[in-house]
Amino acid sequence: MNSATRLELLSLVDGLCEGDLSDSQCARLEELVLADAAARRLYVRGIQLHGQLAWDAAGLGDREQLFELELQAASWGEPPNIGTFAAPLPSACRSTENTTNNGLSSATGRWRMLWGSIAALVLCALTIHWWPTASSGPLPGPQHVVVDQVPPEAPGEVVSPGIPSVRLPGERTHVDAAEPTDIGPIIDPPDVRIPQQSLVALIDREIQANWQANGITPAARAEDAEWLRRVHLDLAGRIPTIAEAERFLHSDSQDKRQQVLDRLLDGDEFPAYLSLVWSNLLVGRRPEVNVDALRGYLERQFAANRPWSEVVTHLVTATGDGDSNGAANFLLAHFNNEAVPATAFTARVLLGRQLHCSQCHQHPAIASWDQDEFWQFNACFQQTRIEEQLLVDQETGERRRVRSLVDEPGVAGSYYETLRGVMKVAYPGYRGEEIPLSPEVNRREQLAQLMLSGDENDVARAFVNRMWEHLLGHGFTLQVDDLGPHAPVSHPELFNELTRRFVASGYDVRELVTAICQSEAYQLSSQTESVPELDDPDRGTLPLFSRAYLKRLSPEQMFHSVLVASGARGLDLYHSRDLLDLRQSWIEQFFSTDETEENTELTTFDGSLPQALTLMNGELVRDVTDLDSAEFLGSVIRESDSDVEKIRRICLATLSRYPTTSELNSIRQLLRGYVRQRSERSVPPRIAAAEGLSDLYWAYLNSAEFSVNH
Amino acid sequence: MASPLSQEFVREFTRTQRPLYLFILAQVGDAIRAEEILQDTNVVLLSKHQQFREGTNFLAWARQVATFEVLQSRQRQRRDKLRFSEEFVTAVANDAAEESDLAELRRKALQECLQALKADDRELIQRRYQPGSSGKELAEDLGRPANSVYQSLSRIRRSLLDCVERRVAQDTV
Repeated sequence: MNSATRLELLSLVDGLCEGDLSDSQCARLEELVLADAAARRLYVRGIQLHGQLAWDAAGLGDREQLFELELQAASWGEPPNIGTFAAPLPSACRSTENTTNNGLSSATGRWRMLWGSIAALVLCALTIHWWPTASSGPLPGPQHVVVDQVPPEAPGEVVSPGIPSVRLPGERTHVDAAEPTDIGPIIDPPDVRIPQQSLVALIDREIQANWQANGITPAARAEDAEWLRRVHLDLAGRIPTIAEAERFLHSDSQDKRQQVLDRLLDGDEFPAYLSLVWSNLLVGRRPEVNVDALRGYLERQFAANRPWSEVVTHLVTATGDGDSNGAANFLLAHFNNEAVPATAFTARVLLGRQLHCSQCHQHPAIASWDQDEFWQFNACFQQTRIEEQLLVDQETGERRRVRSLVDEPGVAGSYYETLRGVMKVAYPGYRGEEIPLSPEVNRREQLAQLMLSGDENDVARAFVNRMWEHLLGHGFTLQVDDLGPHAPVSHPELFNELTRRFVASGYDVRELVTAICQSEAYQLSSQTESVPELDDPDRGTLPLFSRAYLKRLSPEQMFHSVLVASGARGLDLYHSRDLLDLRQSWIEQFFSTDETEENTELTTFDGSLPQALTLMNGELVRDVTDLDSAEFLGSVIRESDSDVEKIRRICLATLSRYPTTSELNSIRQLLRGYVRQRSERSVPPRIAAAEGLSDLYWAYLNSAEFSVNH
Repeated sequence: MASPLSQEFVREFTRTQRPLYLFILAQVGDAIRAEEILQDTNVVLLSKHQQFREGTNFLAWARQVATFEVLQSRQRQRRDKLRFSEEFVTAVANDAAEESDLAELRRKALQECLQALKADDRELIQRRYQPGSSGKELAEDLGRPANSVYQSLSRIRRSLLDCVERRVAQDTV
């Protein structure tokens, strides 16, 4: 039994003694206990501890004495009144659901890579020590020593800062959507007043309360360099340029973090990067549709900060072809196999629900998620068909197939086979709400309205969880797109409140992202002396956000960052056709699509050895580190005065920080050794030094530190 | 008219209540039902008190009765209301019996561990286990979010469990 199982079991026992274990949790408890003698023993000890505490009110009462008196008295007369033996027992404690069964053990060692040069080996030692959580040491054993507990900080009440500026729905900067407006009603944001406390204060209060409750001391505030790199990767999809890093690190301004945040959120890259992230979720990385048009559509929406509800409505109700209506590409990509993938993707990506399991059987944990629900949802797409046309391109004369979504008034349902092999028909509906069966009723429009109804709906919930995960490394649930009664939530009150406020704000994406980026949790360092046992989502605990979790760079972030580190100036990462093509062909090495019922995408981009080798030996990195072609490296070697300065600039360009003193010393020593060695083979020192620096640059680009957002 | 209970019986009966309760609790997983079954067991024990022979193992005898009562209770319960499977109950019964032998040892250790808690934590756990209290009420009393109170309780229970384990290990070495 490892420590994750131990934690999971204890949390199930907690749920049991609180009297609110669900059936599936109960089944899980049985499974764990039956699998292992140690688990059985732990279960018995856990539940009996609860019994001991309940028996004599946590040491306050002494029931034995009471009994004895009672029995003594009774033994001389009538048989005792047995009812009095049962002192009222506390009936319920409640579940904390601290852990879940997903042992997401990350093979942390995989960040380490095999390196081929001497410089790299030494750097390896340098950067690995930097990585406290990446070492795959033994599991931390139970370390609770009651007397040694760190006293939590005084439970300071967070004072809500004055009256926050409330942006009423009507006041939103109105930019006319460039999108076709005839593709469905736009749900007006409900006119709900935003409660008093600012979003940031709300987040901070709830997160802190949880730290205190768990006796966890959060990590220190991140160093400027660490934070700057993180916020650029999260909002612009790339590391900061050397100029941006220098300006920020040397700035004395009090609110320099806020300034950077404003610059990034108002810049062109934020909407472009967010659209890239969402198009990957919506159609994957190798779609057969016009992904540029989809990204263009999303980018315009994000740039104008249009409500997310509007985007969802457009995506679900889109008609026409994918070239002229970018939003149509989402459903066009998934309309194969009777729109089963369209159903599954809409549920999973837009609603955070793993409905596809119930395509063939009832959800294992939630009785109401049955086959009928899946097929009712699916029936919403059965008024729509794909029309194909052959078009001849005016300029090139090439023939192209163009596919369009066309609505056809009709009353068809969805047919499916039950587990018993009985054919059944399902009529359109969403979560128990039926959509009228009439040719005049546009089912997809009805569906969009139902999805967005209520002040705490699944669309908002799924989006909040996604953005939270995007910025903080984990969602409120262990799996970001698997919400529901079966999935434990780390901060239920906060999650609900954020969802309500997101709806109340008119699905204001910018406001949500800003608040999360301003929160205390986002400012924390990823480095801690030791990982708290209670906050280790990689080992299956729910996240408590007491440090910044490490996020591996996505292929796009990696690609952009290598380019930025190359020092090339004036790059338009998101709009230059050449770069987009280059990126696509680079990324395609790692991805392939299965056109199945779930249109799953397979990736080899997982930080594994093949990927590391592709990176190390691939053209991308080679071009950047090659002495003849590398612009930046050349300029560093020519223009910087001293060795120290050269090393500092290379470190800043790649890792967005200056080297530490010991790091600097080791590198200098290494470089000197290398030059001496090469001199013995009559290589001129100047050339040998340049080779050494090139090695260093290459090593930094391939380091664990570079490939992770921390 | 029942014959009077012997001194010895009263002493043994009293001493056995806690281990018996813990033994039952592990098999049913529900404090209230464990209490009910304990009462049923007590009725049987008291009505058969003449069968008890001084010097024999009272707890072992009582556990046999309790095992039977657990079974009876399961049969009365509607199938769908049963928490645990037959297999589970059988599997834990042995450990539950062994552990209930150590109940007194663990009770003492727990007393010490409760004293070693931080004052705040001790107060919290005592309020939670006040007769008639519940985690929910406690959260309302404290004005804290229920979830955070549950998490605190969970943490304190875990540290108590570890602490008891250590003390018992020390004592038995």
